[in-house]
Amino acid sequence: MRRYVVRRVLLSVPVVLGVVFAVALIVRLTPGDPAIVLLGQGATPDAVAALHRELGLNQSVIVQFLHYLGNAVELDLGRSYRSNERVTDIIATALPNTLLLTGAGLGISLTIGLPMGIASAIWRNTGLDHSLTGISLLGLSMPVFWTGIIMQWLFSFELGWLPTAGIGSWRHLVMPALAVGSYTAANFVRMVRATVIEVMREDFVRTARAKGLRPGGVLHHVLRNATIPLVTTLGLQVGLLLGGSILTETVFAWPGIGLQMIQAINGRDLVLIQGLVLVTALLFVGANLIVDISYVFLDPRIER
Amino acid sequence: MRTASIRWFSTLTGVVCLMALAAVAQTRAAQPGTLTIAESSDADSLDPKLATAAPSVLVYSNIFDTLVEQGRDLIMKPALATSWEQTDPVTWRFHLRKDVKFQDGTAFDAQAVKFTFDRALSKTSPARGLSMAGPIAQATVVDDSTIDIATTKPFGPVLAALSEVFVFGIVSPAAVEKYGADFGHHPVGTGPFAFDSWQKNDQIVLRRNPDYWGQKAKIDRLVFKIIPEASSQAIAFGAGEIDGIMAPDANLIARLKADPTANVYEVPGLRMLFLGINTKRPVFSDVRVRRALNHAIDTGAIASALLKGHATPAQGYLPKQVFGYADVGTYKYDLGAAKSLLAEAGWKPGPDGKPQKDGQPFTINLWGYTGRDPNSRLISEAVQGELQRLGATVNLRVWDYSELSTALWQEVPKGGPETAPYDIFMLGWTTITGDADFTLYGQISDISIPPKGLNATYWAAPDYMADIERGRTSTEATVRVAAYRDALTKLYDQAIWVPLVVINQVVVLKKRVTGYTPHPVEYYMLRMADVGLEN
Repeated sequence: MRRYVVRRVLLSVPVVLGVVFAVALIVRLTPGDPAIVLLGQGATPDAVAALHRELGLNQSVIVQFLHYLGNAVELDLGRSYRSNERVTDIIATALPNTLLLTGAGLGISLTIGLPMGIASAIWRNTGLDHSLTGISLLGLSMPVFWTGIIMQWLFSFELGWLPTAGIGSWRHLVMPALAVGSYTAANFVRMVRATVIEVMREDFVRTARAKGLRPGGVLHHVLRNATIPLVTTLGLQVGLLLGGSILTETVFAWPGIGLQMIQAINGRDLVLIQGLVLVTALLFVGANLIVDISYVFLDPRIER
Repeated sequence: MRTASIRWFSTLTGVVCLMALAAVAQTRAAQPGTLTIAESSDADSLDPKLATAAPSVLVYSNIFDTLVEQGRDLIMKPALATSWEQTDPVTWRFHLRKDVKFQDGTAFDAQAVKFTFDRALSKTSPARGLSMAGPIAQATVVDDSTIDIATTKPFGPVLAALSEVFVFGIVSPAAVEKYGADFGHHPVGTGPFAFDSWQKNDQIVLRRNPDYWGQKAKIDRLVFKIIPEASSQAIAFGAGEIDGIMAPDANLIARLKADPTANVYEVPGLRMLFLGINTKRPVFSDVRVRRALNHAIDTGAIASALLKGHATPAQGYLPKQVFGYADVGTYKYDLGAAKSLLAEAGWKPGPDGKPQKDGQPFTINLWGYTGRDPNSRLISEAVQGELQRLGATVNLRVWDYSELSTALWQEVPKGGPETAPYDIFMLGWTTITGDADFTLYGQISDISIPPKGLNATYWAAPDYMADIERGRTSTEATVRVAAYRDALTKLYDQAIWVPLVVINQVVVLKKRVTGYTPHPVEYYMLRMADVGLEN
């Protein structure tokens, strides 16, 4: 078990490094010189050359990346080109906000998606199933920036119940979490439905029913066996949520890493982009690692 | 059992309703004495040395002062310096205001000024906006309240340069020493508002400086709230959560103008969009062709239709409020005149009806951009359409603004400018100092021909250069104005640009905000020291 975990962790390292290097390469190959963006109308060739030297952009990509790695090992991810703030500080402030939003979104996604998906599966092909599937299709078709603005109009402008944007109280979390959660819930409903239906087709379910087990008990066994594929989906949902957070954070002015990423890209803040990609990759890899490890605990049949 | 659960359920409902009511009350109440303005981007840094873009300068122009200040009429006024004189052709002596303190309590004196200038002029890490400041060489302390600023050569617009808060905003040496590289997040200056707190991408809070040397602020707190999405800004404004919006989206302005709780302040700004013509390209080295282009673009339509009236057609190479502007004429929109000028230059209709010369069709390579300015892509496409009316084949390439900069200024074609892949490029330029020198010397001069600078037209006639040098080196207003009139006349005559539109600055504020007057320089639009709130 310990060997399994250690091996998985070690395998994650080249994945994360590879992602960061790929991004470092891509942003440097993309047209748009950070020095020109930073200097604006002051971008005379002399000023640009001086800023290149100051930021180390006059060196080759490999050299820059090796410097970056060397510092990263000591937890120094550099300083943002635009604000000169430590990248680690920026991430330390923004990341908890995104985690809060992602966590709340995941919670809503589970609370809505799980019961709906299970109900759809149990009473499949009935009116209930069709309407629930229809609702989830609606949820999937409505982009988060549209539902976000509609919610703002309704709950902030018309009713005045919730603040339009920003962060600071539980009230600020409601709409963004609903926006991102209902989108992923719609996705989740379909996955749950498909998984549960498939498990219900298995022989042990027929056996249990034949033995006279009451429906609640059958359901209990079905769900236990559906846990593993569902947990896998959850791990992937985390990726969806992290990506979708960019849009949600923009509409609701939620100061997380999504908003930081958009600004970093627009401002060609290469150092910050690399730091944010590193963190996002770590989060995604970490979430899936937890999912993998959880299999061992969820299914006694899996060898420790 | 059932009665208990009914009771529990109704209690819960009651609690939820009370919370909702409390939520309503909380959301709508504005903290007294607090003015909240929405911006679409967060500041990068509040250090004048590091951040020169509007989102940062809009905020820290409340925290820092300069030696002289640019008034709303663009004329320089005393600020941290009360008087000044020129002691020799390259030296200016400033007498500093006495009994001024920084917001951290330390004293403002000539040493602080020298510290600021040394920091900005550092060779190893100069201020990011330094190249916009002109030939400022150094600051020398004469005594505690007197300082000499030297330039490398005689420089007429020196006061305009020193008023640039984004290079020469005076910083507290004690605070810089204390915070080092983090000064941008703990700024300390002498201005009417002191820094209070900054939640990145959420809001920046400034509080009133009660010891300010000038007009003390009428409000207690000034909050810059970051709301990136335009419709979210409008909703927050309508719901009463914010008191103003800086530079609202053009599509929202009409709606906001109809809002009875709002005042919309719109003034002509200092940013101009124009088409630059590569005068070395064989077709466009003929001045008649360039004049034809000037006649072919309907700038009025661009301003009213594309920019919805939030811009004015350009009246020359500079916005009208700029020092040195002179009305030396503009080319009227006249397709007939354009076509006859082309014919004069040898472009006669060929067998397909389109102009051609020596068997070559009339082809134009047009570079436009997207980003940076609203609707810039649309304008590029409109220009393409207008030039096609001349019978030209127009190849439009739309760049991202930062890429266009690199392509124009850094990548000089190996075969020389006449082989450049562009004939005409679209650009925007803001005359930040309100002085003709900033634009004419920065954009159109021989020392700024790529790769040395930003003059992608490759034009800089010697007699024109003599005019702008005269304007730059004289310190007498009448001499400078006359010199720029001559320079502008030559520019008009040689038609190296097609000036398009001057963009308006817009700010929307609730009617409860009193005493606000817009400033033509975008950077100073949100200086709120003389603004009050009535309730």
